[in-house]
Amino acid sequence: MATESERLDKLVEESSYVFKATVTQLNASNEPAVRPGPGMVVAHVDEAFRASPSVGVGGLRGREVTMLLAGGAPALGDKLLVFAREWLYGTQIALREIDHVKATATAEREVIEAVERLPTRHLEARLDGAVLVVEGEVERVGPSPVPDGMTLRSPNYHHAIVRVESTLKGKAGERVDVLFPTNPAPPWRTAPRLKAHQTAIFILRHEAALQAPRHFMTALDPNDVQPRDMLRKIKTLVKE
Amino acid sequence: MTMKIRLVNMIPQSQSNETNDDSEANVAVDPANPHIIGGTAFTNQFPNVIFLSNDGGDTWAEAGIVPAAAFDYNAKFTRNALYCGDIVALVGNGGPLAVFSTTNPFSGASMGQIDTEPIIDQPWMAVETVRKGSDAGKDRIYAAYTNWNAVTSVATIDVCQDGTASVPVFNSITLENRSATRNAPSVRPAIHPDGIVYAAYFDWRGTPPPPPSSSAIADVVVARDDNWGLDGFQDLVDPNDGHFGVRVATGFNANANFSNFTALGANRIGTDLALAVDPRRGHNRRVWVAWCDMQGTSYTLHVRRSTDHGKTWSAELLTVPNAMGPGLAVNIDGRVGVLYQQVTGPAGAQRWGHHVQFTRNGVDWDDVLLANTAVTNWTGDYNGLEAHGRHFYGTFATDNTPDLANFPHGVRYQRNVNFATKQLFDISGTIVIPTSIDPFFFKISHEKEEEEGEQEAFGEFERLEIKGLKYEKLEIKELKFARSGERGKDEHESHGKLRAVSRLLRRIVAGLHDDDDRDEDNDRDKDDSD
Repeated sequence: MATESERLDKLVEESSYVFKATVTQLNASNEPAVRPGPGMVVAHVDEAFRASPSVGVGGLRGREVTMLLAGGAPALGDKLLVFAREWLYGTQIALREIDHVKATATAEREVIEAVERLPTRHLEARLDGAVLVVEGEVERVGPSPVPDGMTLRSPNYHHAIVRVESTLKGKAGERVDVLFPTNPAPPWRTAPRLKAHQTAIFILRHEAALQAPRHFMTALDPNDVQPRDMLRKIKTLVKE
Repeated sequence: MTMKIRLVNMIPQSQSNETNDDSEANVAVDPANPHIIGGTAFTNQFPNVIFLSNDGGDTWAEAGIVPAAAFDYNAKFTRNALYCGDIVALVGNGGPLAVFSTTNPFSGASMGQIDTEPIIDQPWMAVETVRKGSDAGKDRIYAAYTNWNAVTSVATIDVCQDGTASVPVFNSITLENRSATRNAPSVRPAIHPDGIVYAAYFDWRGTPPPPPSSSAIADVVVARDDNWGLDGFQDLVDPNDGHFGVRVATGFNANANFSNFTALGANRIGTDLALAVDPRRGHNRRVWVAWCDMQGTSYTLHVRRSTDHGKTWSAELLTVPNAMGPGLAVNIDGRVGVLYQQVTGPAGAQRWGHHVQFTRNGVDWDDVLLANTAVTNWTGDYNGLEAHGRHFYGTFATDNTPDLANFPHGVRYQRNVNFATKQLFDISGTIVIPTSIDPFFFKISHEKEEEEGEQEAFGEFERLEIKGLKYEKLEIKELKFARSGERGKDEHESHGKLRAVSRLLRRIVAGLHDDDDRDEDNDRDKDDSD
């Protein structure tokens, strides 16, 4: 059975928006493209803890937002801790609520802690799923020896040879073959692009898209290439 | 020619922070209410967004209503609903297709899934609400793609005859019927309201080595189905090889190297294809196709036309060097719009020119340059163009530097900008943020004044003159109008009336042509049955 902390972690992870708000209008919308109706409120964001990068915590704080409620019927002036996802961005922001709880000092502190845990939890998940975690330097970058480019969806891999300085998880030789995508189209556009002489901690998995030979690894999540000053923290998170 | 041109950056004000490359823009206009317009572009948002406007494109919002990731998607409106084809995940070299629909994209409800296919590339939607007959009101859906699920990966269309049914039924039709083992990802259906559906695709030749490659040899093929897709797109037979689908152009170098993102500007090439049919009643025989291929060292846009239901095709009506991303549409006047982007300038200082060219006869073209922007990052594999009434609606993606010199006909930004300093600002309006690729919407309206003038004079002449004409006694071979010679204060009024009469007579002549078309249709049926 999930603990309250685990439930909160899951809720925060599902929510691209987490904030404290005061309900200012009922059955209302402040976004012209959203017709007001039942189950909708306008709320003033008193404090923002998590927001989509295209808005940012600073861009959310202090705004009036429209919320499509998931349930419950808050009253005017109610202070809520809101967990929500994007619905509509126009001149204003409309969000789909996943859940809300009454804002208390204790609940707010727990939410802040859950938000602060999120990057570490994500990094931990990437480390847990990795085959190999190494600290090293990209010696050189060149064309990929793996056949690629058959469709618009192909990753268009390039090949990086990483000289291993230390191994944090798995078994590595002196060098590791890493394929990294160059296709700017989804889903590859956010994957790290490796550069010659780049030093980092590489969180690696077996290549899957093209079923390349097993010794070709990939680092596809933006968190899969970490700066070396994360070494100590990563060592504490790695489970062999 | 009188035109009104409106250009709008589609990124909403509340997304002023975003620096994502929102590439590969497309457009969808609600035919029941052209003030409702949708759009798609890669925004990196989840849930995936449909751009929405409820004021004819002046302002835009992003609505996260596509309940999946968007690895390649576009959407189209019928009179009943908005339909979206989307690659929702990545599996090997492609991904599964889902077709979603909603009858109210503003409601906040996620779109519902109505179709799925295992592994495909580049979904492309064409939709139409049936206007007449026993199926009037039903939505026809044509979700085109290249099926990468089979050993031979080929052009395919999922056809649905009733999109708003409680459980819509889709039938997959394979277009490829020659020896090609692969077709390019771009498959483009075009629907005439009469129920004739055309589809264009690239036949890649040559194995080994299998395309795609920078030396892929290809043909452009146009297929046709005369009964809403129920005949399997087998109603147009190539006279030279007896296969379904006429080869419009053959044996060219498609330069389909999908790994080369510097092939033209910062874009890959090799999938550039567009198709449109004249939407007017009785004009379903008029079809236009545009594609791009290598001509020497230049990737070149070509436009051709058929006036006999795709049986034969004209010579080149328009060629544009160093161009890609064609969009094609025909308005109710028979005016054709060709949207594309063209690279100019030397390496390192290249610029995209985003053009629309218009013609009514295929000979005389009017070129409108909408934007002239720096080549920076990938803008996508296609652009979007539709026509409704006399208006052309389109989208393209390009560098978003707010420099008015880049937009010869003006531009409107919703996001925070300073045109004087040519800078983008964050949501607070205080912090400068970097430029990126944004989607832009445009609407080009033709002859607005004439349309209004005609409505004034229309009733008068209809009452006094036109109704007196006996339709069956008209013998009009050619219409030529000259000014009546009236001058002075009545000049404007008389000129407006003259145009109104001209338009009424053209409609009558168009009606006569309808009869010609029916005769031609009968002839065509005979030909096909032979």
